[in-house]
Amino acid sequence: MAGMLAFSVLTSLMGPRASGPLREAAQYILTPFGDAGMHVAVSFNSRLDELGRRSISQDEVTQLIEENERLQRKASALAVEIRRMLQQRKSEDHLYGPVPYAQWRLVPARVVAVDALPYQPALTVNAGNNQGVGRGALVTKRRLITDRSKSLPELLPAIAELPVPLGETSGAVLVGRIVGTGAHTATLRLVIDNGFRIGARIRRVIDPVSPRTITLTTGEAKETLLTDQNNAPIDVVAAGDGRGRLIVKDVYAYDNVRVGDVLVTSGGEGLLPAEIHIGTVDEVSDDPERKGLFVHLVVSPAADTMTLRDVYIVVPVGALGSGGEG
Amino acid sequence: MRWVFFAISVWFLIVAQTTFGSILRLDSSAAGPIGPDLLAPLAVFVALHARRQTDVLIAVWAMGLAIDLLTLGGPGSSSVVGPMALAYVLGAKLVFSVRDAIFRERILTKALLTGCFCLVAHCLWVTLQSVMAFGHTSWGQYGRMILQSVGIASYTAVLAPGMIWILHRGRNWLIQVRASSHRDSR
Repeated sequence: MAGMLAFSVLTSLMGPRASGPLREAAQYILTPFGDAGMHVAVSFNSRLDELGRRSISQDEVTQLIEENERLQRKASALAVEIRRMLQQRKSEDHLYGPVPYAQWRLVPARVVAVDALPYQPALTVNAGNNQGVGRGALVTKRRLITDRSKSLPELLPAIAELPVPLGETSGAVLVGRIVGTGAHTATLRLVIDNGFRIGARIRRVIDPVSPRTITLTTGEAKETLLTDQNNAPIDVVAAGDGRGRLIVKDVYAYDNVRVGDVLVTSGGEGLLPAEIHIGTVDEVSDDPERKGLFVHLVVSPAADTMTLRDVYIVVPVGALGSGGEG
Repeated sequence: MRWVFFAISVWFLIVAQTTFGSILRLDSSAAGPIGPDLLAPLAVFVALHARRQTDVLIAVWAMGLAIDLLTLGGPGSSSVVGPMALAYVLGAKLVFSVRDAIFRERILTKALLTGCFCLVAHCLWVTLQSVMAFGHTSWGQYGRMILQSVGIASYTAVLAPGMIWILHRGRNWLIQVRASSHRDSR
């Protein structure tokens, strides 16, 4: 018994050096059996979610079907256009110099287990070093809603395959970051967890019904109406608060960020090639120490973390990705 | 103790906790997510009914270690392995020391003991993890996690009667029972 207690004390004192390999070994016992359990749990949570939603009338259903068809036609047309533009850009790059493209691939993975304790629940996914997943890789989820019994429109899979406009065309949302990897599994820290931090941008939504004024700081400071021309993204750092939301601090009050504005990844980050939706501003409050100068934002995550099952890990091909934050 | 059945029970509960367990989790805006500790009722059951103290301590140490191995999140950036094994041992030692002074066949008593065991083990775990993550955690975060521990202990105590009833039904599979088990506790 004394040996066991000494082992516990020793592993505690050794910290991550001991816990990393021990946890990796433990995953071999759990992961093969976790998949079925997670399927039941996620199905239950999804059904609970559906029950909580308002049922819609037949008229609304017809309207939605029509709108869906219209959007599908539009998406197909845009996919052709995007493909044409990419081809054009490729040929231009070829002409004007050897610009190396960062190549990324999405590694599909499935959530097979959650943390045993709910303090800061990290998730285990069934892709690891052997699939090329490394520590720091960002994880997304596509908000692509489709009925399994129907085949996808012909061009839709092609949109997802396009390398550059990953976020804009596939409706991807950021789920979290890989914080540990084993041979066949990886640990995913969610965007809402306490230790999660990421460089991000706020995209302000222009609402014609209620226009807003901002203060321009370039040249002579002046107040002006927010328009498409002066709506520059605001660079911020977002951090999970451990209570299901993200917190953004030190945002200038004169930028006039409002509820409903969108938080996206900064796009330029080495580990993610595109602007991907992180969440929506839910609350704007004055910084208590610097009232009137700065505001704090509370952001609701775009990904539903309770029903997370299939995710995509963004893996750089080659050594082009740089390390992530937090 | 019947160790093979005990090991199967622990494995089953661990798989349940890391998969179905997410169904039982509640979101509290003040404390964060709160869910039950499904291993706590088994730990208390073993502490109340196993014959020898050594058996109890080995069994709960293994359970605590299993939780440690399957929990990454905690104060700071990640948790370390070891504190829950120690916390479970301390909690079980307390339950073992009072077991002759209580009506341990009553399910409500066991549920109450499960709540107390959980509170002691989880508060100790949060404290030890916070000490290990010194400099990476704040008093505010520590306070919130203690609040979470209280929530987890209460939730586990509420669910405990059902689990204890099941454990009672399978008592002979887990523990070799003798007629005068009350006197054998020492």
